[in-house]
This record gives sequence, C-alpha cells and structure tokens, in this order.
Amino acid sequence: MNPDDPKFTAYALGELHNEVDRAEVEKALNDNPELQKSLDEIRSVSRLLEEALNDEPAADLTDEQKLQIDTHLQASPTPAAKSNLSQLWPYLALAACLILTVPMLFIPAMNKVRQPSGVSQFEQDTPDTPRRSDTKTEDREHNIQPSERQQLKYQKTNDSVAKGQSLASAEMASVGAVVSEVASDKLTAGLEIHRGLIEEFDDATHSVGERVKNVGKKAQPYPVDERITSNYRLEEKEKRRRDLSEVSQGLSNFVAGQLTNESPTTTKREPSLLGSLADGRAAKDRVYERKIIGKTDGTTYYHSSIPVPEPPLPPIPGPQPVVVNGAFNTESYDSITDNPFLGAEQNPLSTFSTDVDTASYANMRRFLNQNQLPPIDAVRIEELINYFTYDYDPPRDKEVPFATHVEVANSPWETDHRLVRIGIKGYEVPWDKRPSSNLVFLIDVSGSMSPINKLPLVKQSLELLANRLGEKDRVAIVTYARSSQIALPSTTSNNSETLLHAITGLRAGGSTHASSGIEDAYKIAQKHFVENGNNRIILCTDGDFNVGVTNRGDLVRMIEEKARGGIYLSIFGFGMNNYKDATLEELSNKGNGNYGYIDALAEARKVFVEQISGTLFTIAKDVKIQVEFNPAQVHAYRLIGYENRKLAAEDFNDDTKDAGEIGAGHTVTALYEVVPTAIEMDLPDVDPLKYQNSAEISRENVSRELLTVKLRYKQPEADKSELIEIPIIDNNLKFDDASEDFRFAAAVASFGMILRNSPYKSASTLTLVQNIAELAQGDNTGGYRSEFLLLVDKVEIIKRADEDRRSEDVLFEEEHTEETP
Amino acid sequence: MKDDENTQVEMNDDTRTSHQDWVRSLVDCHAASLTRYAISITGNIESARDVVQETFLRLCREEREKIQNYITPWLFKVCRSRALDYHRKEGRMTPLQDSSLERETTLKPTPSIAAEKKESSKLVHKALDTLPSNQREVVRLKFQNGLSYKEISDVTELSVSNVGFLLHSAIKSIRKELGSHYDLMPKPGESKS
Repeated sequence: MNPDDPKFTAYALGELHNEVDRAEVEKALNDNPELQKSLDEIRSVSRLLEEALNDEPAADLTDEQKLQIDTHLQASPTPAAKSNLSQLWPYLALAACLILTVPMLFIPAMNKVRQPSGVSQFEQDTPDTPRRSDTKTEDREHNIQPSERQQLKYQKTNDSVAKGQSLASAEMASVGAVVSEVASDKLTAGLEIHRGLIEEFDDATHSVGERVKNVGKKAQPYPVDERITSNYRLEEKEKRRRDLSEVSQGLSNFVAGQLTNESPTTTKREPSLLGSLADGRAAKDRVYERKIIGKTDGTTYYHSSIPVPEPPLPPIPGPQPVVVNGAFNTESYDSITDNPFLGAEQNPLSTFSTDVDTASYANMRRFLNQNQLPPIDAVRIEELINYFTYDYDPPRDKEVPFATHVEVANSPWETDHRLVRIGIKGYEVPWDKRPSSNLVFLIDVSGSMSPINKLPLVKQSLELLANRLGEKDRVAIVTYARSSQIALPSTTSNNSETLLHAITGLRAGGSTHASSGIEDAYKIAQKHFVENGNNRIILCTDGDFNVGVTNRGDLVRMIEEKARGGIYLSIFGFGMNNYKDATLEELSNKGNGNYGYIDALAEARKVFVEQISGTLFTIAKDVKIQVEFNPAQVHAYRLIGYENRKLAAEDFNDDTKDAGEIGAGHTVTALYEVVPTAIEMDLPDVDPLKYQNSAEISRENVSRELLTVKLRYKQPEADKSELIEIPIIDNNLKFDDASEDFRFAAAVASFGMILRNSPYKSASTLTLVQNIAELAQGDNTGGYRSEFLLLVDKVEIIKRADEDRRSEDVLFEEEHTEETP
Repeated sequence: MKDDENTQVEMNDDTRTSHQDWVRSLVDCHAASLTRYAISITGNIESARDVVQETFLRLCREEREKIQNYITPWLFKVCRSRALDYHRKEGRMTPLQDSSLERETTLKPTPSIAAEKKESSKLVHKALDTLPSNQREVVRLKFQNGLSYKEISDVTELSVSNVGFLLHSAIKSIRKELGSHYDLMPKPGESKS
C-alpha cells in the first residue's frame, strides 16, 4: 500500500467507509511500521489544522441581524411549518380529528334518517340528541331560530312543504329503514372511538367533550375553533370561552396551534370547516359546506389513521388547493380560509358583519416594501378592499345613517360568474358640526417602541391629530410601560401648546404593562364623559401587550363593558416586531372601535387627517348585512373576504349580537361572486333535495330578483336595530361597463386572492389586476389607487426574484431528496 | 404530492420541535462558523454577515423535512453560493485593507494574521497560504467546520473522491511544509494520545 494513496489519508481521518478498502489499509499498517508513522503524522497535522483554524476569530452575526432573522421568522409564511409538533401531537391530532369527524359521521346520516321507524342505534346511544323534524324546510326554520323566525322570500311556504311531505312519506318509510341500518353501523364504529377518547380527555377538556357530545343538538362551534378562528367575533363565543377552564383553554390552544401549524393539505381545511361549523348553520348546511370544500380542492379533512366511514371524495379538476406556504400561523396572525361557494338553494342566506378596518392593507404594504410577500393569513381581502374610499353617494338625510349601493356585473376572473358589489356609505359629518370629543390616548412607551417607525411615528401622528382638534375636544395622554403614567391630564385641545409639549415629551423605555394603563385611561375618559359625544380611548402600540395581572379574558370583558357604557376603543398598530395582529383586531372589535395599522407618516395622515371623521365618529353600530339569494337566479355564491366576520343567519335579527361599526363618511364594500343558474358548477356531492322543489316554484312566483340585501344597524346610542331591505335585479351589465369603483374593487379582490393564493382566484393574474386597476383610477384621491399599482408591480418583482432563487438550488435539493429518503 | 407530504408529517412526528425554535437553534449553533467561512470567501466581514443573514432568511422559507437531515451542508452550501455571488459581483471592488474594518476582514489573503496566539498556528496558517484555493477550502470545511467528505462534496459540488484527493494533497503539502519544524511533528509513542 502506497502512503501516497488518498485512501490512506481518508483512513487516517476516519473517512474510509468501504470495508474492503479498510481491511486493505489495516493489513498494510500491520505489515509496514513506516506506514504507521505516516498515519500518525497525518493525524497530528489534522489536529494542528483544527487547532489553528479554530483559533481564527469567529465573527458572529450582529444582534440586529439576528433580530431581523427572528422577525422574518415570525412574520413570514413558512412553507413547511409542519414541524411544530411534540410528542403529544399524535394523540391530540386524533382528538381533533375525532372532534371533527364525529359530527360528520352522523350528520349526513341524521339527515337521511328521520322517519320514526328509522330510529338508529346512534339515536339510542345519544338520548340527548333531539329528533329531527320531518322535512328539510322545517329543519331549516327550526335552525334559524332562536331569535326571530325569518321568512325566506324565495322559498316556498309551509303549505307546499306539507304536500311534498305527504306524497313522499310512504317512500320515505321504506328507504329510511335501510338507510338507518347502514348509517348506524358506520356510526357505532366512529362513536366507540369517540367515547373512549372523550373519557380520557374528560378532565382536561371537559368542555371539548361537552361539545362533542352535544353536537347533534345544535350547531355550535367547538373550543378548538375558537383559537383557529379566534377573531371570529361572536359574543356568544366569548361567553363560552369564559366557561372554559384554564386547562382546557390551554389545550384547545395547543390543538389549534398544532392544527394550524400542520400541513395545509390537511389542516388548512380545518379552519374553514370549523369556521363554517362555528357560524351556527343548520346541521345539514354544515354537511353541505364541508362537502363543497372537500370537493373543490380534492382533499379530505381526515388526517389520521382512524378508519373513516365515508370514503374520501375523489379529486376533481378545478381550482388549485390553497398552497402549502400559507399554513404557517404565528401567534400574530389568525388563520383564514377562503369562503367556499355555497349553493343558493341549500344556503339561501349569507350573513356577515361589516368591517371598516384597513390594517391588513397597510401591513401588506409594509411587507412588500421590505421585499417580502405577506403571510397568507395576514391578507384579509375585505380590509384590502375597504382601504380605498369609493365614490358612493352619501345618504340624503340623517335619518338613515348610510346609503347602500349595489352593482352587478360579470367577474373579471371568471367571466361566466357575476360579481355583486354591495357598497355602503356613511353620512358625512361636517368637521365644524362634529360632536364634542373626549379622547384619551393610551400610548405604549415600552422599550420595544423606540424604533423610528413606532413611538416617533406615534408622536407625529398625534401631532397631526392635535392640529385638527379644537376647544370642544378634550385630550388626555396616558402612557404605559413598567407602570402607567398620566403624561397629560385631560385638557381641552385649544391648549395646543400644552398638548404638543406633552406629545414631544414622550420617551420609550421599560417593559409593557398595559392593564393598569388601560384602567387609568378608562377612568379619565369616564371622568370627562361627554353625553352624546365621542368618548374614545385611542391605543397606540406595537401589540406587545403584556396584560400583567389581568388576563386577556378580563381585559376583553372590561373593554366590552366600557363600549356598552359609551367609551369606545380604537387601536392603531405601529412597527413590526412583536406585532400581534389578531389580539389588536379582537380588542378593537370588542371595544366598538376601529383598528388601523400605521406603517408610515402617509398612513397616519390618511387616518388622522383625511379620514378623521370616520376614525373618530361612529354613526351606526352593529351593522350587519344579510343577503338572501334567489335560487331561481343563483346557482351558487361566494362571499369574498369577511371570513372572520361571518355571522349565523339567526344572529342577523338578534340585537344582542355584536357587529361592525361605521364611522362618519366611511365606505364599506363587500363583493359576492355569484354563479347564475344557467352555469353548471360542480357543487358538492349533495343529493338533490327531494321534497323541495323551491327553485321551480320560485321561478313561477318570484320576479327576476337576483337577491335581496338586508341591513341591520343601530344608531350609536340605540339598543334596537333598524332594518333596510333592497331587492336587486341583475341587468346583465358587462364588467367593462361597470363603474370605476366596481372595477377597482374587483381588481383589489383579485389581487388579494393572488396574495392569498386562493383556490378561487381562477384567471386572476397580476397583469389582469394591473389592467383593471389602471383603467379604474377614479380621481385617485390621496394617490392611494396609483400606489396600489406600484404594490402590484412589487409583488411581480418579488415573485420573480423568488423563482430565480429557487431554481438556483433546485439541483442541490433534488440530489438530496434522492439520497436521503 | 399532497400525499407525500402527509406521509412525511406522520413519519417525522417524534423529531419535531417548533420550526421557529429549530431555526433559532441553528442560528445559535452555526451563525458564527458560517460567518467565519463566508469571510474566507468574501474577504470582508460586513458582506460575510450579510451573506450569512441571507442564508438564514432563506432557511426560514425552507421546508424542514426536506433539509433537516443534511442541514449543515445545506447551510454551508447556500452560504457558499451567496458568498461566491457576492465575491463575483463585488469582490474585486471591495477594499480589502479598509482600516475601519475589523481585523478578521482580511482573513483570506493572509489568514496568518489572525493566529497570533500560537506559534504552531502561525506556521500552520503559513503553510495553508501556500495551498491552492480549492485545497484551502476543503481543509477549512473539514478541519474548521468538521464536515465529512460527503458533506464537503455536497457543499462544493465536487465528487467525494475528488474531495478525498484534495484533502490528501493538502495534508501532504502541509506535512512537507511543517516537516522542518520537528517540534511540531509527533514523536514516537505520542501519536495515539
């Protein structure tokens, strides 16, 4: 053996893995002592090399760079995000899956098995499950309770139901029995597992268990979803949350966290499923929705090895599923799943709360300006659309605080579909006729606020605002960090010097402790409360909201209570580190206030100067929109955005249910994508409704109305809501002939769907967005619409750069995927 | 594709910790050595830091399952390719002896300046300076960063036997270079310690 053989060096360095070669070297070493000397020399040289090279000073990244990585990590979508699981995970996954699966198992069955002769094993097993009524329609109406029973305009009356029922009942009796047997077999299997699990989990997740057991009773969201769709703002949800023990909250938190961090091919579905469950629809509607989702993206929700009674739905060609990299859900953003298409016949009612927040747009812009695509869950399409003002006519008189404008034209991304735009314009309060204000600024001055885009920007914003206020407005400033401090006692704003001095004096430092600060702020606001005025806390923070002694539940309750007492809470988010979007949005909603994100002075100017009335003065509260679709005209529909604003149909008439506020001069825009009856659409695998020929009846009875928009709102001081109803006829307007506002909103929606990589984006492309938006600039007030064009460009650039970068390393990765199976 | 991902999810259950923690631990563990490595290519600490930061930002976007089994070579590979990009684009224009930079900034052309502590290190660095750059690079990966032949081959895109040959030649040259300094070479019987 030659010592000059690289194999020999490899052997000396422990890198010779081939048995034959090793044996050869070892034999040679035995035979030849000279070789041993070479070996020793090689080893000592390598030790010297190690030593010498490790003496080289290592230059680590700077702290700032590490911080940037960390920020990026928290803020950016991670393609994988599947890694976030601990030992407990398989167990919890099983639980979560069962919680999801069990209702699925028996809901379809229950819909079929309604005949008394078909009392299934399931029903015996769960005696607290109410008997289902005999007809679809009764079912629906039953579920639309408990508030007021609503008349479905486009549906047939109970008389015709009765006829259908009697005609069919004989057949039903025979079919029912067979179905029930099959169904109950399947159910027993599922329920056994489910029971065992419930018992094991009983202590920790008492309420989880409760919900699962009660699932047949009434559509109720499960605790799991409360985290997933946690800014699903139903007051009811909040009440339930209170019921949860700390433990179960922690657990559901964990489950939800895991779910959302799991592979989107499975869990990315869950939020939408849960979301739809949560919105309290009738049981059969839930089945319907579930199937829609399952069908359109070709995946199922089952993601464990539990035997699943229903076979997975076959994939169909169609829109692409939501792409992987959306699944990453940091603590900062709640997961959102795009609303699916719903059949108008089965789901004639679509209900949601208005939203005038715009934070998502400014936040997205911040990401793009940092050359990053925003995380999918940070993109709330309704907030992108509502960022822009639209030129809707304001209401003629004050009696009705807002005017509603509906426009219908075809959809630019799916030309066979119709796009329905519902636009609401609040009346404008002339600045000199504004009500007196009693404002308390609550400002986070903790250490994290020192960067230039935080406290300095807050101060600039306040100065802008201070300059607009006058003698009938009071302003106080409370700061909080380690402890709260009153930086400025309530002062009338004509003392602008005092005010500006206090603003200039703000300094960052210390850790955040918001709870006492917020209490102080409310105390001051209470002390100077202005009847019929605008009493408002304005919280400026980067969201690192250390609630200290008060837990978040208490905080939320306090905010809700104060809002009922007339002191609203508006929140403005600043900066980028620690930015907790979900918390801030939820708190501001509880506080009947608005929520904005200020990324730059220009945005501050928009919020505090240009749209100051809208920011400060609420003209209507709890504004809810319900759309009833006419199944004779509409095959299916989809609400674009507002995912976390959906309400249950029965919440519409329920005045105790909280909803969005509208400020003076605000515009609110919502878009529906509507599939006309003439268009075939592969809707979910729901059998045609046998006892309901509503569509045909409707065709005879009902006019050409496409839909009816219903709005409920309360005057700011009122407890009772008012109703507005507007029937809409589709005049077959072409997209190009639609108003500029309509086209621009469509472009923004399309852009949002691209950013969210929505399965419903269809033919949306950045070019399409550009083309539409370019021709729909309106008067481009404030330059916001032209800025939008720049952002579209920016996305194009980032995407291209990403692709280049990716292809660069493809080779390397492919190589390794093969080698490391 | 989806199914594959699901399978992977289930397979790797027990090895999972949070993705963020994972990245953070990698930053803690590798940032310094990557920066040192990047300096050897860019010759400049500022750019080396940028390169390493970029590497980790890139890591944030990666799917953990795909790379976690060869994460060290992955980091070095990405870092290397960014550093070489930088070097190609700007390397020649960067003043290597800028007085405002820290001393490490000129490691590559004269690595010996960094190693004043030990006479032996000085000699080793001097010997290293005589090596061709491709040998120097594999030596660095092997002895400074503890990468295996296979990993070095991944990083440098050379074949494993090529790496073996380069290391072999490098060690041979250094042995020869140090050969005159008897005090550095092992004495009989000391070698196994």
